[in-house]
Amino acid sequence: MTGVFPFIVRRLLAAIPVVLLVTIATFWLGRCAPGDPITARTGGKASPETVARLKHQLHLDDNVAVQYVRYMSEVVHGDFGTSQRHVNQSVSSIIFPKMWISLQENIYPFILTFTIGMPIGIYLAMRRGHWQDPSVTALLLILSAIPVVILIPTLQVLFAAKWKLLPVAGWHGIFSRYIILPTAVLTVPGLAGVARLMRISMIQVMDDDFVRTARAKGLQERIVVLRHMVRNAMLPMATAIVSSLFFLFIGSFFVESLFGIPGIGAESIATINGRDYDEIMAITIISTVAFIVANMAVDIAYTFIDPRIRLDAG
Amino acid sequence: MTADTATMLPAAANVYGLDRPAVPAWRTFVRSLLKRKLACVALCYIVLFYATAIFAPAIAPYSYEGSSHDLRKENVLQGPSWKHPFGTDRLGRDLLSRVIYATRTTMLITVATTITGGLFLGVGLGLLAGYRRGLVDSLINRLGEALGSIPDLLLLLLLAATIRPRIDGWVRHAYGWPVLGGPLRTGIADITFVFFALTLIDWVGQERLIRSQVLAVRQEEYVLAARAMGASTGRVLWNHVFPNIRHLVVLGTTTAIGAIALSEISLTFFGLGVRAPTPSFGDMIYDGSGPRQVLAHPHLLLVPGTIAILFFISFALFGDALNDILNPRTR
Repeated sequence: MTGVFPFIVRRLLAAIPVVLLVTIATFWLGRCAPGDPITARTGGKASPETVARLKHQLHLDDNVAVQYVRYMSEVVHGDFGTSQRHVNQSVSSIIFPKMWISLQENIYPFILTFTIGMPIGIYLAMRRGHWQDPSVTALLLILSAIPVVILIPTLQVLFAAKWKLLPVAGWHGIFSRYIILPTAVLTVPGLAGVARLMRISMIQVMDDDFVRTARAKGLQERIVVLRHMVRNAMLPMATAIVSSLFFLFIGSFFVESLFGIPGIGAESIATINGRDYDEIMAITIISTVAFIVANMAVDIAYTFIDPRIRLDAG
Repeated sequence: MTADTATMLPAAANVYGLDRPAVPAWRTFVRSLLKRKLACVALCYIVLFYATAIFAPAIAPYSYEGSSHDLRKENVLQGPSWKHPFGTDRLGRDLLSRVIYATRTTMLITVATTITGGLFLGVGLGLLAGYRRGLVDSLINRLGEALGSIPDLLLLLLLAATIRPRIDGWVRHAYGWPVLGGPLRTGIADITFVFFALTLIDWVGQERLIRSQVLAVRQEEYVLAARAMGASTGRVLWNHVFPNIRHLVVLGTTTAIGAIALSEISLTFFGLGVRAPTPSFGDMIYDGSGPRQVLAHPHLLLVPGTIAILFFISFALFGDALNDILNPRTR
């Protein structure tokens, strides 16, 4: 059982209990939430008969396990229930447009994180032992340690309120000046992380035999670096893609709330303050399953990118 | 190398020079740490921060809760002065005292979460999963994978929205209790909730780190030898496996503390963590963060913001230095 195909099958099977765990936990938490749907509908002034009839209509008199299965089968069909805050709107009609906005907002940071971060990491690795490496590495570390909740108001005050260079907040698509500050806030911490990872990865490749061979056969230094070192050092970047998406998702909560972008992060905060449990359950399930699939895709991609990786590990 | 193996194998021990008194590991560690000036400054700041937290009641000039006297117009939103070195906030409360007590919230949450989540659960489950393998390993792995796939802030928000109101109900019930009532009213319940929620997330990273190292160590010959000689599992883990993962525990814990403190601040910033009047950096940053507010009263953001930023930078720099010393391959 060490071929590529059995590995993929096993990896897929391993994801099933994880998805089950996440959905069961989310469903259970939703059930723990205060305020029951009957009181919400009747205002607590209904006769016992009406309550029983409503319970039956909403299938609340079933076993919890049956309710979970029903909920999940609806979820699989794309039905996440109706929103409690927006009258007569389904949860999916609210969250999918918002996810689209968040996706657009995250495109620039995602691209910039890698296109700027990786060259910086390569440069730092090449300057190891010179003053540039420790000082820039420390600077990157400091930049990534600044919490966004402090960074955002500071940038808003400096660039918008004081110097009047950029707008304070708002959402006008990705081709307006409004996107510049959110992009900067979402890019900097990820960029520092990617640069540091790339630097370490380069340093670990540097002393390998194939690099020495490449130099020994007289290749130009530029080709040794780009073709032999960088190509191999880029392997861990596949994992960095998923973790970068993960951090962009979390970063969006702050960026969207503070810059007034109507995306899924700001919506999550609003649903919790508005006690809209169906919606927060939907957001949790969709995003978590997306990350489980992304992690799985990376694991499988590795077996194609780098056949040396032991297939039976994990 | 433990004493009993050395006495059992005197010949081999002599070959490797094990009977020579060696420099203790911690002394080499301290020496290489002292060489890094930036890391030492960072460590000093961390020590200062936690010392402030411990001695908060002795240092703080005023109470963090404020009083009706503070609400008078001449006391509200004052800039720095001799009476209030960091100024006063919207409710006329002394910002210096609030910041001092906020370090206490950070300390309580980071220390409690690190001990239970990172050390007890993280290291314990990591050792168990890596050493026992089999079913236990898969169970712990799947659980970790599930928790690791939920964006942590979303999980915290979900817990705060669903379970929190119930806990609040019970706690309000207990306000009148003789011994417990007092601390419950002063925000201990909030801190406990945040601590539980963060513990749930915190152990995952540490467990993965420890497990992968245990998997490597358990294949080593000295572990096989110890098991062949009939050493109990506990003895093997404590004497042979644990010394090889100690550096990872130190490293993982240092990295985790920054993340825990950040989660608490973020949660409180969104109004779902520690609640007023208990001071937290998240709450103070929120209060000071509107652009117009910052222009008019910059000290409201500047004071808690600077102290919190320095805390996170210190942990990042100190953790990086530890990584250099304990994990030299990435230097």
